[in-house]
Amino acid sequence: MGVSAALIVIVAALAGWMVGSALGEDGIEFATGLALWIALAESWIVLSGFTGYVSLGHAAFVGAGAYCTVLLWGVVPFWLGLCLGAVVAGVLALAVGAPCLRVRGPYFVILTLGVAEFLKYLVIDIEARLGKFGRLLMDAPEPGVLLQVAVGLAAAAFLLAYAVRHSRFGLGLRAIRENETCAQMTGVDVRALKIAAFVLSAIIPGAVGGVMVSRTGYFEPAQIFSPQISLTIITICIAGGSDSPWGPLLGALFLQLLSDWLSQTAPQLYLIILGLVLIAFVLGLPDGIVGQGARLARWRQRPRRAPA
Amino acid sequence: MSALLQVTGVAKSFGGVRAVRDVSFALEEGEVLGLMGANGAGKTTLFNLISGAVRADAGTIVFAGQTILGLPPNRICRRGIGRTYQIAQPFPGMTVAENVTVGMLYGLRRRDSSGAGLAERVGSLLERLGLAEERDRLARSLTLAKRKRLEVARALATGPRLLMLDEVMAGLTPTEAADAIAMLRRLHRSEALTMLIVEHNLSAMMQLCDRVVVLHHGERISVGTPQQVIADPRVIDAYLGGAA
Repeated sequence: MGVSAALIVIVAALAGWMVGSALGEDGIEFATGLALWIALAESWIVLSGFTGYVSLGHAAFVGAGAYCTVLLWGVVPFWLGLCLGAVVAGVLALAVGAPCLRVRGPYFVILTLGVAEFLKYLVIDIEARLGKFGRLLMDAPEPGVLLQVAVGLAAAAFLLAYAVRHSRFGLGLRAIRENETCAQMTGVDVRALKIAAFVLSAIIPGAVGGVMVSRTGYFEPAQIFSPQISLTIITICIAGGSDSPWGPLLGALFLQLLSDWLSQTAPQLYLIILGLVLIAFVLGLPDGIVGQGARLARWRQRPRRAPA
Repeated sequence: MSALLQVTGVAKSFGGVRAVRDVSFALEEGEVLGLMGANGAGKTTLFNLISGAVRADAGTIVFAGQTILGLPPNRICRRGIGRTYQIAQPFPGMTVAENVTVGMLYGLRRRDSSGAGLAERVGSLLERLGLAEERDRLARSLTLAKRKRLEVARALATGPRLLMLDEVMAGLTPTEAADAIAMLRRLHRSEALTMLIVEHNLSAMMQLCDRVVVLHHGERISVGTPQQVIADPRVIDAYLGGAA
C-alpha cells in the first residue's frame, strides 16, 4: 500500500504540474501557495515531527535561501539560484544544528527562534549598511512557471518525508522522540541522526525561499525571515499531524482553504478565528487529523475477547 | 583464560558521594552473574558505567578483549552489550514490533535488514518472549509485566553477547516473577547468553545466578556462589546491620 500511495502523489503532482497553466490567475496563486506550504511543512516534520525537536526557526532557512537567490539574481540562472539557496540553507543547518541540538524541549524551541531572529536582524543590518531598503527583482519567471517549481518542491518534500518515515533512519529518529536515552542505549547514534535530520529538513525550505521572493518580485528581510512563517508551518503540522507525510498534506490544504475563505468573508476576524482553530486542535486532536485517523484505525483493530 | 567482561578498579563519585569505589569483577562467557546490595549500594551506577551512560572516574572496563571505557552508549551497544532499565520505559508511542525493530536495525547484528527476514526475526523474538499477541499495540498501553518483557525484548533485539538486566522483576506479582524467571532461564539455556543481573528478589537470584557479587556502600564486600554469599557474615552484617 505504501508504494502505491507514493505513486498516487507523484501522479497528482504531475497532473498539477501540467494543468497549472490552465487555472486562472487566482487558481495559480492559490495552488502555488498551497504547494509551497506543503514543501515547508513536509520538510519540517523530518526533523520536528519525527524527533520531537520542535523547530520554531525554519524561517531562517527560508530567508537564507531567499537571500542567496536574491544576491545571485541575474548573475546565475533562476534554477541555479534556487539550488544554491537550498545548499546555503543546508550548510546553515549543519553549522547551527550541532550546538542547538545539544538542548532539548523548550530550550531547543527558544534557541531556534533566537537563532532565526538573530539572522533576520543580521541581514536587515547588512542590507541597511549596503544602502538597500528592499530589493526589486526584475524579470521574475511567470506565475505558471513558479507554480511548476512549487509543485516540484512539494512533491520532493513529500517523497523525502515519506522515504525517511519508512526507513531505518526514520525509525531511529522516532526512537529519539520517544526516549532519547533509551534510543542511544539501543545503538542509535542520536547525535549524528539529529544533525542529519536537521540538515535534511532545511534544504527544501531554502529553495522555497527563492520561489517566495520570486512570486512577490520583492525582497524585504523582515518579511521573508518573519517568525510568522515558522508559526504557520507549525500550525499546519498541528492541524494535519506530524508523524506521517500525509499530515502536512492535509494540514496545508485545510489551512489554505480556511484562510482563503476567512480572508474573503471575515478579513477582520481572520487571525482570531485561525487562533481559535489552532487551540481547538491542540486540545481536541493533539495528533492532528491524520494522527486521529490512525488512532481510530488502531481502536477498531484492537484485540477483542470472544464473548464468554 | 579471558573473561567476556573484566571490570577492574572502577570508581565513580557524584559530588561528595562515592557511589562506586574500586570495584573489580570478571564475567565469564555464558555465566550468569548477580549484583546484590541494598538501595544505594551502587548497583545501578555500576550498570551505567558499563553501558556508558555514566563515565567512570577511575578503573578499566574490558569487553571481549577491548576497552570500552569512554565509548558512547550506542557504540557500546554495538559492541554487544544490551541493557534494560529499572523503570521500564521503552518507546511508549511506538508499537511493540517497532520497539524491537529499533534494536534489530541498530544493534550488533544488523545484516539482513530487508523487510521479510526482519519481520520474521521480530516475530520470532516476540514469540519467545510471549509478546506475539501484543505485536501491534502501543508500548504505553501494555501492563507493567508486559512492559518489562518488552524492555528485555528490545535489549535482546540488539543481539547482545552480554545482557544486563536491571530489576526486571521489581513490581511484578509472584506469579509474574516466576514467569519471568522461567523466561530468563529458557533464554540462558537456548542462547548461552551471558547475563549480569541486578535484583532484590533473593529467590530469583538463587535460581538464576552462577555467582553473586555483593556491593555495600559502593564497595565489593563478597563474591561467590549464591549459597556462599548468603552465608557470608559480612553480607549478613551489611543487610541486617550487625555490630561492626
